[in-house]
Amino acid sequence: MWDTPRLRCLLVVACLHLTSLLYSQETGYSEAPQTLRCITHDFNIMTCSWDAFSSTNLGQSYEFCYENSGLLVCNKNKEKSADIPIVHGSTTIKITTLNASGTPLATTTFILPEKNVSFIPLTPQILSLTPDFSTEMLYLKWKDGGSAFPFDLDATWQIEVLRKETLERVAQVTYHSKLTSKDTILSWNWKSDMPLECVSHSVRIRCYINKMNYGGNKEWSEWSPIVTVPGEVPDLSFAKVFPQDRVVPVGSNMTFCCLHREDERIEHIKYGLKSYPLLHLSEWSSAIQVQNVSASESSGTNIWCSLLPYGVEGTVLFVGYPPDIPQNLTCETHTLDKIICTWNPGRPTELFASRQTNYILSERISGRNGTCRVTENTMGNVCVFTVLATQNIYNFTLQAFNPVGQTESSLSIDINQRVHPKTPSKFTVTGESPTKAHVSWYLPGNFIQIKLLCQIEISKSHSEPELDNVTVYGTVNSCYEAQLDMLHPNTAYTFRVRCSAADHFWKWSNWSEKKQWTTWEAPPVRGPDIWRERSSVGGNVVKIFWKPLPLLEANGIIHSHVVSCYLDTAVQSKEIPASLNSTDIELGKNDCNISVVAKNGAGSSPPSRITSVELPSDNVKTKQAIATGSGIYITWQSDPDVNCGYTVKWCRSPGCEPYSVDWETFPSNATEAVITSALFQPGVRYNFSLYACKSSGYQLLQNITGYIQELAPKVAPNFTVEETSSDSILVKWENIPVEDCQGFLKGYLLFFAKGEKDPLKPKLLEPGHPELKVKNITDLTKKSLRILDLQGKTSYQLDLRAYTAGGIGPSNGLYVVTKEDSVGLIIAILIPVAVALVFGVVTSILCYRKREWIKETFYPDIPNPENSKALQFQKNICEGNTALKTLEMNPCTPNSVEVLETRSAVPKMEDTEIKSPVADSEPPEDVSDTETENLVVVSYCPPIIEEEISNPSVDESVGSSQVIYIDVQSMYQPQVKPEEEPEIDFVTTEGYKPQMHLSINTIKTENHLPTEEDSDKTAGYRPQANTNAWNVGTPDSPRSIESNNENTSFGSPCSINSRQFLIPPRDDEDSSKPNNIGWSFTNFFQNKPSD
Amino acid sequence: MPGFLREGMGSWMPSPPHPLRLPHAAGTLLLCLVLAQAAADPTANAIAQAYSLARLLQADATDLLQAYLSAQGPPFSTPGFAVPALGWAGVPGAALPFPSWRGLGDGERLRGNQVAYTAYEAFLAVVADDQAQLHPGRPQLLARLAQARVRVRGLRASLDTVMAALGVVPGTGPPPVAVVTANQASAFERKCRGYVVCREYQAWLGRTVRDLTLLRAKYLA
Repeated sequence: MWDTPRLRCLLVVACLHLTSLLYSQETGYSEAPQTLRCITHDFNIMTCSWDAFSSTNLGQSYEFCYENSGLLVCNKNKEKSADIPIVHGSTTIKITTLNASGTPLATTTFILPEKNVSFIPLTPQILSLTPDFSTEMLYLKWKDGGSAFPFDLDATWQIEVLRKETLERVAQVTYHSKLTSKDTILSWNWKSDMPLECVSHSVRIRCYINKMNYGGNKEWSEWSPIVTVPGEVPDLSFAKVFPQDRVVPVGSNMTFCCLHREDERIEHIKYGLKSYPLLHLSEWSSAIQVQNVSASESSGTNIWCSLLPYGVEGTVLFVGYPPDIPQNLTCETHTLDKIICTWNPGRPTELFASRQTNYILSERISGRNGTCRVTENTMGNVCVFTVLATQNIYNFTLQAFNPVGQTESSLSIDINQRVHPKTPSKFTVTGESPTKAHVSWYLPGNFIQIKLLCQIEISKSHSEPELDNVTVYGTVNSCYEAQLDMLHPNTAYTFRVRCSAADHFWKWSNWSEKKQWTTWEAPPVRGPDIWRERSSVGGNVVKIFWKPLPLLEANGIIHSHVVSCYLDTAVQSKEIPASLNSTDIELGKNDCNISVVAKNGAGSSPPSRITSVELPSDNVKTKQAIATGSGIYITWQSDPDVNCGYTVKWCRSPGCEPYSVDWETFPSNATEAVITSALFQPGVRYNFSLYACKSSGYQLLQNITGYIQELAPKVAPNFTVEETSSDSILVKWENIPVEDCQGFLKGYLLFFAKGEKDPLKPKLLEPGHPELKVKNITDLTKKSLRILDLQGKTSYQLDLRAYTAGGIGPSNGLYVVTKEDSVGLIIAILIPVAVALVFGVVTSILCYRKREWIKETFYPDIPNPENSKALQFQKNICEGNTALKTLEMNPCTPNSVEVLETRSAVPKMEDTEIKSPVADSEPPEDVSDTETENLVVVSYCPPIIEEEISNPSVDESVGSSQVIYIDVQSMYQPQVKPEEEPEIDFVTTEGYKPQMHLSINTIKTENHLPTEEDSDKTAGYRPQANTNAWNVGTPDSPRSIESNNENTSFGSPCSINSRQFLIPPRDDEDSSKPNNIGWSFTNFFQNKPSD
Repeated sequence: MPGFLREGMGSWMPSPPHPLRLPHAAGTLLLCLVLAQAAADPTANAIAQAYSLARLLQADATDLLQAYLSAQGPPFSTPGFAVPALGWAGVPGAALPFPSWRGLGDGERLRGNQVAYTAYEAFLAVVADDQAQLHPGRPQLLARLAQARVRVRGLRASLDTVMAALGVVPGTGPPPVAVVTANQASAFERKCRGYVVCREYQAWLGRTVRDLTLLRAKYLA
């Protein structure tokens, strides 16, 4: 493959620079050779070339002479190059240019040192470039050309991979080899990151040979010619996406290309659902790159290339994991003819169907392989290897492989130590005696070389199973048997068996199927427990009781009991069927020794004996037993005469029927017992009898009454009310029946409280009721109770409950109404009346005793003007007002006079213009005119009013042509509440007001006619002004200002009798004093100091 | 991908009569009439039976297509997936211009059905094999495909009965599915082939229901 002539020419051109190093000796003209350049490809021959001018180029040639081994060698050549051997040191080369006739034209002599000869390997040639599209691999082959060198050399190769038509370099690698004097084909492969179908891939190589002791330059060879693997050319009809159906490991970086027709263009390429940017490869190819792909679903990940104007193409990528190392590889044998290996495949590969993991089981010693079965259910993977007769040790290797990787796991076993027998079959049980059984089973397999350890499980109801181990010698596919001893007669057993290797235990087989077997019967172990009682009626019959034997002691089905009574000489015997547990024996007054024997199908039990003798007992007490958590606790005094134990007998039901009699026997040294029975029920009273067994007979020691658990009484006691008074109730109750007590009765609780029978109201007797009272009756002999300190004519609710240590029973309620208490009622009425009377008398006495003071204080005959606020006009108002006519005496002209005819003490008021309701309450005025009797003159003379009428300039709200007396109450009202009704109509309020109406009213109420003296007092002076019109302590108020006009003079006091003002008008000084608002209590207290 | 066909969208697809468009009372009356007539006329009976079976398969085919697509991963499994342009050589297409379909004779109409379902029976087997190789962990889809194949066989038998009743000579069956070609398909091609088979199978059932509705109306009168 070395194209020598052409390459030599190239090398000559490449070594032009050597010329500068040459020593030249020119002897001619321009035709003289010059610029000698020498290179070598094999360190043996060097190729030299030179330049020379040839003007005519007509038959010009060169003589090339050099010295070789002391000899001058000359060659003629028409070319400007020549090959000469390489010699150590320098080589003298003489080149002569000859013309066509052979005449030298010019001669040049060169001295060429070895170091100036460059070594350039020959250009390598690629033998083959083979693509593997399925794996995206390029396989390159070329010859190393080692035959050119007679010695070994180190060669370095540079390989470039170029992509696309533009030859973009995508990879450059260096490959080292050794040349071994012969031509060797070298190979190199490269995996592309892009499907080879997507675009063209090209490769070229060059080499560099390193000869250590060569003094000249060593250079890279020329690049080899490019060899190209073209990409897929799209079909005329269909597009394609590459790679197709590729299986890659998770995390790979993938490139997918879509090839299409040139008249189509790609709309998008999607990996799954995601669209990726397009990489333009060629006119008909584009690609996407997906980094770090994740595991795909079972049907693979779709790569979808959508083309325009229409069309789709795609491919499927399967991404998964390489197989995990098989875990827990286990190999064992069931029958010693095949070895079965199982394992856990570990992490799922996420690859299925043809891409799933496959396994190979190989045995290294024998070199054989097993047969493997792989299922979709990874737990079902299994390999089977046939056991070799001469081999016990097996070294297994399990290889796991799938398209993205492979792993392996190894295991070395001794087949005899990995025996896992199959499940025993044909398991049978047969009987030999009441305590023995024979079992046999079949076990497939060739166990001749080993012993088997088999385990027989013996189980019976209500007890833990027992295991019986049996070691047997192994055989070939045969039955094994064993004998079981120490079984209990007449017992239903369940057997099953399993086996393993005896010497080297590996695993138990599965249990065989269960077989039930009931052992044969045997005579009962002992006689039954017996008791006897003389009948309470007559005492001639002895009733004999026995308890059925437990199954473990009966040794079979008891079908009868034989009861025998041994008198002195005679024996009375009878056989009782097993359904009965008691019988009667007629003894009369005699006693006998009784024996009872239990019989089953296998024989009779030893007899149980008891005597019928009952020893007399004195002073038998009845105790109450303490119920403990486990049973009823009974104690007794130890008796040295007792030599055959104590027996406690009781009845399981209140009626003490024969079938309910129960007893328990204790040894002679016992002094206490706890009687327990599953049949004891809470709240039921049980009676126990303690007997001492002495040599001469049984003696009753004591009776015990007890409860296994006390409960609250079941019913409420019946009670009635015997007697009721105004403050007490007597109740009586009855006893509760014993069966309803459900415990020892501790007492009664009587609740009572006020309350009426009203179902809508809450119950009064609930706890926490404030009026609830409770009486606890602990004396059980007491059957009545009187409730005292009750209120008369009151409804009470009574509630009676019984209680035991177990709680309080239900209640029984009654409603009782106590009788009325007449004395108390009378007292309740009389006491307030008496108090009121005493208060009235005392008040009257005080008023009488202090009447002078009262009069002076409240009703002075002549009011002290200094104390009268009516005269306390404001100074600033009165000053300078000479027209003030407050006390000016004016003739009093009544507006009208009405004559009333009084026929009774209380005169009726006729219709009149002056409506004076006060008239009825003005007896003093009437009294003052008693002489006229029938006439009452109601008069008043507000001359101001007349002036008012005549003076229209006066405020009309003040003036009125009529003066009307107001009612006494209405007169008082503004005084009591002066602030509340300040605007009382002047028409009704202005005018005369009687001053003693309070006392008058009081007198009138008591129908007391005033005496003459009283009439004088009561008919005295009265302030006549409207107290509201006056300034009530507020002289600056607007009303007081209004009163400054002429009309205000009507407030001057005026004697009724004289009809003149009693107080003459004062000067300004007097008028400057504060006004007295009259006799009201309020003003009385307000004005006293200043006066 | 030699099997792919790109089809135009200009064909008319006969749609089966919508059951809800028929008033209930009228539908009941029509059904009674059909049954009464079918009991008397073996031809009408055969047509009615084939019609009922086609309706049943039509409902199953819709479910089959959805189940198939959901098992193929995106974009097949995305809701509303449809590539009408996708076809596969040999899979009978149901699309036919309306005048052509309406002008078909009874024999031609029935023979067309017979040929189509003979092809579908084979293609459903191919699709079932493809799916078993792609992802055997979908037993439900495989069971549906197997069931569809069995029912197609039943429909073919029923159509044969109708043809026999009408005296139609059976035509030659379609060329058998090229096994070599089927096995050489890539996984993506198998998925697309399965999609085309299920889609066209559903469409063909619609056409069959329409055909049988036409025949029923014709021979019931």
